[in-house]
Amino acid sequence: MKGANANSRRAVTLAALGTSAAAWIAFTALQGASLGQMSMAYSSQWTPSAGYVTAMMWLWLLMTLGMMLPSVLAPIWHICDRSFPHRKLRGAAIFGVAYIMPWMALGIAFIPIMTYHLSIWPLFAIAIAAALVWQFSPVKQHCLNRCHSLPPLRAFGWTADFDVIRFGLGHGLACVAACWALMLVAMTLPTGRLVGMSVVALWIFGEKLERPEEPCWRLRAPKKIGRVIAFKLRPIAPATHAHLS
Amino acid sequence: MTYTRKNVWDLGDSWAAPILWYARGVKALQAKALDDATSWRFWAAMHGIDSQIWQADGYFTPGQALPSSGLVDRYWKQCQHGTWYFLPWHRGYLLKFEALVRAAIVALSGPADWALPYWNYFKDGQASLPPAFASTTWPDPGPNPLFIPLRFGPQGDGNVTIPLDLVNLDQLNDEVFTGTFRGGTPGFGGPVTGFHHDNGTHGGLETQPHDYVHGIVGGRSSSDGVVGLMSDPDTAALDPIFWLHHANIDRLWEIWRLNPPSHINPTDSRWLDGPASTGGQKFSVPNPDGSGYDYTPKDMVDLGTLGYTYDDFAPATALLSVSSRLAFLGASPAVANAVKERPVVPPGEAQLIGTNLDSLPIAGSKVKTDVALVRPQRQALISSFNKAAAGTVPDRVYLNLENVTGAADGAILKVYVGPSGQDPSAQPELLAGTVALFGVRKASKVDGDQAGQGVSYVLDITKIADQLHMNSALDVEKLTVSIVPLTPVPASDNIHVGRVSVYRQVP
Repeated sequence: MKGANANSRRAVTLAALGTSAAAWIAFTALQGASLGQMSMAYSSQWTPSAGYVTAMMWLWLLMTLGMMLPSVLAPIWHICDRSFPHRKLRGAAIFGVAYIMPWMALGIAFIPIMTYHLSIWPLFAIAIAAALVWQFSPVKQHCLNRCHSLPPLRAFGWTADFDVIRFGLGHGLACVAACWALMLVAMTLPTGRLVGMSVVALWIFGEKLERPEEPCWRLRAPKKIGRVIAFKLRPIAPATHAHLS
Repeated sequence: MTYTRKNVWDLGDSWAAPILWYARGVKALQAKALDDATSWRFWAAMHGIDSQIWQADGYFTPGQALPSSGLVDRYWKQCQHGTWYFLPWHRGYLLKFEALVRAAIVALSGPADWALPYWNYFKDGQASLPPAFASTTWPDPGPNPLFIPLRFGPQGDGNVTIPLDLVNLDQLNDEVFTGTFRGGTPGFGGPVTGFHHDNGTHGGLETQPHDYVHGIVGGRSSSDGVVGLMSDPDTAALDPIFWLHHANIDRLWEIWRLNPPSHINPTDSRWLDGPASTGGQKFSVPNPDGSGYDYTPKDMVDLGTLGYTYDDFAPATALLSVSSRLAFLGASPAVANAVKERPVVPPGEAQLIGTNLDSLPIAGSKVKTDVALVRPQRQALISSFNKAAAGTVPDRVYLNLENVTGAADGAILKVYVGPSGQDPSAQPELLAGTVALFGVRKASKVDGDQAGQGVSYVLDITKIADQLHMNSALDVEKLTVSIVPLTPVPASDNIHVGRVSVYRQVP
C-alpha cells in the first residue's frame, strides 16, 4: 500500500490541475477567434443556431473546467479517500460530470450576453452592483458553507454512484449559487474578459479556502492567501518565553 | 520559578491548600462580568459558547454587556478539536488560565507558588470525582464554587465515577503524533488541519480518554435529559473540573513524549508555527493584566521553558511493542525481537476494505450493522498477517464511525466488532473502544465550522483483528459491529452514523 496507492491523492491532484491548465489553454486559444467568427455570422439573427449554441457551450465547458477544477480538489480527495481502490477513478469522474451540470445550465443562461453583444458598460455596472449585494449577503455565505460539505458516501454498486452524483450535483449547485454574480461580472466585462475571468477564478479559489462562518451581512473577501503572505514576510522577533505569573 | 502541578487525590486532604485556593480563585473569577477578559465566563467562552445553551443553563442573560467585537474575534470560540493543534492549543490555554487563577489567589493573600492540580482518574482509587467538587459546601462561607449542579455522571444521577473498564491509555502506544482524517490512524495528537475550532476526526488522545471523560463527567440528567456542562464543548469550560481534566491530558502528552524516546512532537513548520502560518487565525489568550499573549505550538513544547512540571511522569500503561504483536501472530522470539530497532516512519496510505450499506441511526439500547469486506482488500490484509511469522509487521486495522451527527452531546457508545452472525457485544474481548459524542451537536450544524458533517471517530481494532486472525475468523465476507450506548439514547437526539467502515494501513 505504500506502493500502488501511496500517492493516490497526489495523482488525482496532478490530474485535476493538469486538466484545468489544458482547459485554460484551449479556451484562450479558441475563444477569441470563435467568438469573433460567430458573432459576425450571427449578429444579424435573433435566434442563434444549434451550431452556435454548441460551440458556445464547449467554450463554456472549457472555461468552467479551467476556472473551477482547482476549487473542487477537496471533494475529489474525499471521494478517493472514502472509496474502494477500484472505484476511486470512477467516483471522481462521476462527481466531475455531475458537478459540471449546474455550471452548464448557468452557461446556457449566459449565452444571450455573448450572442447579443451584451458586454457593455451599463450592463457591467449592473452586474457589479448585483455582485456587491450578493457577495456580502448571508445567502452567499450559506452557499460557501455548503461548498465545504464532505458527506458520507455509500461504497457499493449503484448506491455508490448515486451518492457521488448527489454529491457532485449538490456541490455544483452550491458553487453556482455562490459564484454566479462573480461570473456575471466576468462575462459582462466589455474588454479584457480573459483577465477578468482569471481574476474571478483566483477570487473564487481564495473564497473556498476560508472557513465556514455563520451567515450574515458582512464585508466578505478572501483573505487567507494574504494572511499567508503576511506571515511569510513578518519580521522575526527574538525568541522569548515570557510566562507571566 | 518552576510550578509543580500535583495529583488532586494525593494532596492529603479533600480541602488541602492547593484545592482550597483553587476554589477561592474560581469564586473570584466567577464574580466578574462576562465582558471582563479576566472573568470565568469570558475564559469559558474562549473554549466555546452557544448563547442559547448558556442562557438555558443560567450563564447568559440576553442584553447583558458583551466584550467588544475585537475581543470576541480575537479570543472567543478558539478551542482546537479534531486537529494536530488540539494538545498545544490547550496547553497554552491552561498555562494562562493557571496564571490568571494564581493572580486572583495572590490578590487574596494566597500562595504565589500555587499550581493547578490534575485529576488522574487512572490511578487506583482515584476514578471518582475529587470530593472537593462533589460537595455543595466548602470550608468558606456560602456555596462551594467547585460544585456544579449540571454535572450528572454516567448514570445521570450526579454520581461521577469513571468506569475504568471503558477508558484506557492505549493511545500512549501510538508511534506517531500526526495522522490524517483519511480512514487510518489519526495519530496520537490528531490529523493535519488548519485552524480547527469545530470537530472532524479526533486524534488518539483526544478520543480516549479526553472525550470519554468529558462525556462521563457531564453526562445527561436521568430526569429531564439536560446535558451536563462537561459533555458539550460550548459549555465544558464552565465546569471547574474541566481544568483538572485537561491538566491530566496535558500531563499524558508529556508522558507520551518521554516514553519511549522515539515519540517526538511534529517538526513540520505548519505545526510549529501554528495555523497562522497557513493563513488561519493565531492562538491568543489574555494575560492576567488583560494584555494579549499570542503563541504557537513551538512555544508549547518544553515544560521547563514554560515554567511548570508535574509531580508524576511515570508511564501510565505498559507499552505494547511490535515484537509482542509479531510473537502473538506466530513469529519466533528471534524474529520478533529483530524488529525492535526498526525506525519509526509515518504509516502508509489507508485503504478502505469494507463498509456497511447505509446510514445507521443510534437510538435506544443497542444497534447492529454488518460491514461487508471486499475480496481484494481482504485478501491483501490476510496476506500481510500471514507474513508476520517471517518478521514483516502486518497491517493495522481501523474501524471508522464516519460523520456522526446529532442534536445533542452526552451519549457514550461502546463499540464492538466481530465475525458476522454473532453478537460481538456479548464478548468483552471484542470491545473496539468507547466514543463519547463530544462536539457532535455543534459539528452537525449546517452553517457551523464543519458544514454539518459531524464528527468522525477512528478506533484501532488491530488487536481484535490479530485475535480473529489467530482464530481463523478474519477472512470473512462480513464483520458485525454492535454499538451499545452506556445509557439508552433518546430518538429525539437524532444520532446517526453516516457510515461504518474498516480500513487497513501499512504501519
